[in-house]
Amino acid sequence: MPKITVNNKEIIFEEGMTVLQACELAGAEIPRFCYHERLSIAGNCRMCLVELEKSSKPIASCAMPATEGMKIKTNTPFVEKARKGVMEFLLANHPLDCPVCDQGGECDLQDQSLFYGMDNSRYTENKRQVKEKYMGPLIKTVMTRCIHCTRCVRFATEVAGIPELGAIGRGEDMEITTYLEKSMESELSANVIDLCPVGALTSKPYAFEARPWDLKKTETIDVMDAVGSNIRVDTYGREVKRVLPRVNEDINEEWISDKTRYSCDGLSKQRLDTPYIRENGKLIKASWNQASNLLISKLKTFDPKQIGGLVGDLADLEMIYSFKSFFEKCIGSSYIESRRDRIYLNPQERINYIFNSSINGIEEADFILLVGTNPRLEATILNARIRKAYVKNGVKIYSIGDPGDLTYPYKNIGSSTSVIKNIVSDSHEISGKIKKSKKPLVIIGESALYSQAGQYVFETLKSFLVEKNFIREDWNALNVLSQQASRVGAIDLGVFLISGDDNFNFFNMLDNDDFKFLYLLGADNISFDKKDKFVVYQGSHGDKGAEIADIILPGAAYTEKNGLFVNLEGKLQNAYKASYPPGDAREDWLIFKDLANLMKKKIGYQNAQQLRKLIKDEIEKKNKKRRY
Amino acid sequence: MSIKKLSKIQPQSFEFSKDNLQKAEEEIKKYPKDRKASAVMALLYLAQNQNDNWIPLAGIKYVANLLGIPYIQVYEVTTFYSMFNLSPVGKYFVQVCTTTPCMLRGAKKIVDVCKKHISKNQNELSENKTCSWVEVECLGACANAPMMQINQDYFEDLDENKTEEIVQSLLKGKLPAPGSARNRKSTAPEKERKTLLQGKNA
Amino acid sequence: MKLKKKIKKEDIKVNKVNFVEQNISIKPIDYYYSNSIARSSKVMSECRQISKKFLFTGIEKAS
Repeated sequence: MPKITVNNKEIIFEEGMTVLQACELAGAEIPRFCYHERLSIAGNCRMCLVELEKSSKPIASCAMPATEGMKIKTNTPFVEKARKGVMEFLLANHPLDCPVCDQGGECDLQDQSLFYGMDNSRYTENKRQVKEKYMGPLIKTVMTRCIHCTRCVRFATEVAGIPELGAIGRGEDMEITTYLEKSMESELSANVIDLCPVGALTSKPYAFEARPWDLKKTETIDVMDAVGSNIRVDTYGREVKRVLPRVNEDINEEWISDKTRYSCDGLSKQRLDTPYIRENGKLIKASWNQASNLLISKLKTFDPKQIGGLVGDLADLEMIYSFKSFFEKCIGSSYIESRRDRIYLNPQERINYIFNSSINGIEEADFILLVGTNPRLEATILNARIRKAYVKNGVKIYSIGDPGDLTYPYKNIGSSTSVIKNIVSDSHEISGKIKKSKKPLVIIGESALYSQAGQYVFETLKSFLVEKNFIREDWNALNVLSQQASRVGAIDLGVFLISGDDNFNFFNMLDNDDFKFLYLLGADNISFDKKDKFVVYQGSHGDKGAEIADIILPGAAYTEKNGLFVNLEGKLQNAYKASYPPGDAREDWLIFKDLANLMKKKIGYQNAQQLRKLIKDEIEKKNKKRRY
Repeated sequence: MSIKKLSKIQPQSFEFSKDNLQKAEEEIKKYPKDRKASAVMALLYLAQNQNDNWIPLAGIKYVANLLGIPYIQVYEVTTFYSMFNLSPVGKYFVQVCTTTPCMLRGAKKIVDVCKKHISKNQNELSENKTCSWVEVECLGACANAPMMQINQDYFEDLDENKTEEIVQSLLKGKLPAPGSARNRKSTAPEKERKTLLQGKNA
Repeated sequence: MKLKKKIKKEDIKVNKVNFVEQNISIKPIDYYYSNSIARSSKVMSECRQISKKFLFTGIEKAS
């Protein structure tokens, strides 16, 4: 193993590391602006200068490969003088904006100028003027602050796959812009805000909202899609000010989608903060007592067979489990469903509905087949991984169905179930390619599992993969891409209605008007004919579900409660409470507990600890029974 | 260096002429297939020559599509190099060298002639829109200073009168013969001088 | 959760299903409006307005 000496300390480093990485191994911190672990190396900020023995000039450690026997010094006056010089140049054109800059308090330039900045400026000329650039509704630009590290350009080109940012002009006239100032068209665009080491690119919706040191930070889980990105929710008082990504190498690396980041302003709008009851066609405010009593008296008037329940997209396990217990133990109905549409589900084994090869596994794949899915919109972060696999390994990607632009090239091989028939009968051009590959990846989307053909698509592809031995201990090529944060968890807890051959039992009953009483647990994305049904909506927002409801019970949104979520890979993650539900709104499991108490029935738990234990037992039990 | 400003008036479309398309294809062929993008500067140059010495936005798009690269990358290249013009500069584009050797030999006077006859400021079209001038850095013909470049050709060993003659003819729409104004053969010595010791200030 | 160590081919349940001819069309997704929180968000609706003229990688269709 090669050795390198950093500040008289000898360490072993891996082949292919840069001097900067080796220095970090040795525990020497190197200041940097342009260097970023997940982007290509640019070497243009020059802040990472270190001293190399026998070199008359300092070297840029981020761009210099470490070699055997190098003697590096990072704490000499020579290095400090060099870095101070660089910093003076960077600050020459940087405005003294800090008091009005949103980056203040979390600014790399601010932090590093504390150690390498001069106390005064020798630059007496005017600072340069740069026009602000328009980059869409998410990114605010103050281009005079830009230090030209080009992190944003590299991110857009490499990670997001939307080469729309660039640096025009040269020298002092260099400016970062999109082509003719159109907005960035990527679902990952706002990550450039986190990447920007200064305040040139800041968050437009968050502009002048708060200072980072005033915010309470809560590390939690995102629910906008089934990926379960790790996020940090920053709150000021009750209000969620912003959402930032948290590093999780197995899931979202350090990116989050724009929806995850910016839908947080929806948490304070259109909120249900008190129960409502419909009287003479109009929803009027009510107390919890009124609403609960009406709900219970209504429940008594229906046969349990006429009562159905639907779990929505954003539900956590506590919510789902208490909902299920309420239905089974208090109502005596088992007609509950978590799918939003007629999407085929085979609950026999756990591998049938999760993303088996894991998000990290995408990078190992040598063949990817997308079946009826648009990962760019269904799971943005996962799509970024597929792109990473494409850039890193040049993996060949095929798609059944036309998803449009996915930010990487792929080949569309038709859009009919007959293509699958051809593939499994070895008469398609890609059959051979799958067989030859070592780690193929088949990603089945909800569009492919839809309706009658869903069963054929899923079971045929599964048996094909089993037959070709692609479902093994070390590699499982079968992947189902769920779209909703609640989906996998709900299926784990058994919230689906399948009777015999009828996979869509619930939806058939709904269409046949078998339900007279419908309980919507945050279910907004379902379209059905209300007719004379009595509808109860329990959720956080006054949306589609609340519009048709006869009783509305206000619940908590995902940032307002502690909850468990299972992401599409089947990973169990803990979400934490960042703020409180508004007004009279309550955590959902508490609502069910109180309803059960009012009905004088036992629901099986009295506090959150008991509930959590029940959930964990349930999931463990299911997993044991399902073998994998 | 002039700041690159996009022209407000832009043609709707741009396409290579048959000749240029053939030339472009030859340029592209010089590079491996997956490194097509390398031909971008050669293609931009062709586009600039075809379109009266400036590249319209439609031309940037056309070149980007031809090479299958994002528009912004082509745009970056055009703004980086001072030799690419993004606004009309006229059919005859005069670049006057004002770097030290030319300056010592009287480039200032040539600039004055340009100011007088073409336009008051550089990067400004003449009244009849066929001509513009700009001060540039060394064009590498110091032995024939002072000099200027018009389109592709060098006009060397200039003086006030000769420059005026050339400019007047440009404004009339005629490009005079390039080369030394004193009929020097490239950079060869004049008056059959053989060594530096013969004569003074030849 | 990790897969259990031993997976035997025979253990995996395989169901044979008759062929059903059907078109696999990927359902359009209203990305910025996909759930009730996003639908309440002003920022998301702004993004949605812009993405209505959704242009792709900037190679083929961008203006």
